[in-house]
Amino acid sequence: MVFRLTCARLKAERLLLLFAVLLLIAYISFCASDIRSYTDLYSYNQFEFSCKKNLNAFSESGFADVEADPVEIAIRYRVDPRDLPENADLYDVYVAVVRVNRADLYDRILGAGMLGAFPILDGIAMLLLYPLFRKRRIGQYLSAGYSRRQVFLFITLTYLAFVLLMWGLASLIWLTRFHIPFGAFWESQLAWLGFNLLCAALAYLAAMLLPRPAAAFFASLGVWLLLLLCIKYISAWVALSAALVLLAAALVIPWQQFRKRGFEV
Amino acid sequence: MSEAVLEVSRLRKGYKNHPVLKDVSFALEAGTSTALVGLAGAGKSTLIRTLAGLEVPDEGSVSLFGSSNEKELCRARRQTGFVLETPFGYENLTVLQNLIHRASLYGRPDMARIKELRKEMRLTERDHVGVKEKLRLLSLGAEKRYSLACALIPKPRLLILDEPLTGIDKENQRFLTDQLIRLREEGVTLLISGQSAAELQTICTRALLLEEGVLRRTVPMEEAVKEETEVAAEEKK
Repeated sequence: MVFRLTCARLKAERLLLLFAVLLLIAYISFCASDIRSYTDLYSYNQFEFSCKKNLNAFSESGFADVEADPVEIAIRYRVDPRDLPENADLYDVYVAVVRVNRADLYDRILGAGMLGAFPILDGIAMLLLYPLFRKRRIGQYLSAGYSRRQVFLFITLTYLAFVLLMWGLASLIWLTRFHIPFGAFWESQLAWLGFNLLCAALAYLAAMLLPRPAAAFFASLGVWLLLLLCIKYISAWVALSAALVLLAAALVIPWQQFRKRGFEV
Repeated sequence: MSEAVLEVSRLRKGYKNHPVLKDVSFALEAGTSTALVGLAGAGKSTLIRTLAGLEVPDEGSVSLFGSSNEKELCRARRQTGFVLETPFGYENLTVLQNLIHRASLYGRPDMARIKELRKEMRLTERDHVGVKEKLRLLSLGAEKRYSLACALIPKPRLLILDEPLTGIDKENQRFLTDQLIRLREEGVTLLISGQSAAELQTICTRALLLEEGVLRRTVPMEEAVKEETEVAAEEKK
């Protein structure tokens, strides 16, 4: 029954859903072009191609000075000299530089893109959640004989469906857009999944408790920033504990509120 | 004596320490038509919203078709039609899409029934409500007709309406009055709220007089209208 309700709601909200997807695509395109401009992915590829034809391209590209000591070049381009083979020549240095920079590039793409994307995706999902609280919308489910528990469950499921859909779509676009190897991609994705779920819980909690979408959006963004700062400057364990408390609150408090006050958020 | 389809017992509801309903008790028997009359702020809408399950009562109980526990009450609401102040539905969807969505809440939508209701409630192209007419663009009269169509989807035995005739033009008032009389004659139990007993006198046979959250009296409709006329005449003086 809850599943049918969720499907009905998603179907009825198709315009909002379409809007969210368009917004997401716009955001990702913006993000992608931004990342591409500063990491210069394509120049690496071109450089690699030309190097295979002629090693001198390494110096012609301005990337390294052929006269310089290969170890010096390696250090300049953040390659640990211990990772170089014995008696490394310029080509060995080039291979190491490309490897290190490419790994760094993936990190930057995934890091910058997803760090920014998930709170925004959750924010969009949260904003989509708001119309549900309008009397005319939620009232139809309650007056049609659905219990508060069922309606609450279906609100949560709808929200999760929006978040997962957008997250899946973002992942797909990233995967196809940047041709990122599966291993690196899923490793990063799994690491971010936890983070994303936390953001989703925060946004959900804010949407359920705060009366205005803008207030909820900024509150969830504020808590999210605080947690990031906590990870960086205090301790990941403190941040994790705070996150777990928030997750528990996200499950318990909205239900209590909904049960007592109905849909009047 | 016929069975009670709706029983409200010592119902209390308030918002932030401001009581809106104070110990309201009444019962509706099957096949009767009752008006819930009171001025704005008397608590009519809160009472109806509580019956519809949109509000949780602070105290007291509601029993629909003999069911008063939460689970059974939900089941009983599936046999009840509700028309609230604002129509249920999605503003960005058309009338037809909303009707189909509403019908899907009761199971597989019966398209023949939806077609029939659109025709009955004058929600077709002929009545200037196009297939592509979105809910938010409807006039108040068409909105009320749409709300009644939604409420009739499950073929209810009990119909509860919150001020269905308020704020609409004479033609729509007449049309909705005729529809409600027809439903009464078909055996549907009616509870209709309104600010004036006069506008409901052709539909209802008795009136519940609600004043500042207290159910003062239950009187025959003629008496309610008579009292209303006398009060209006005194105020004129």
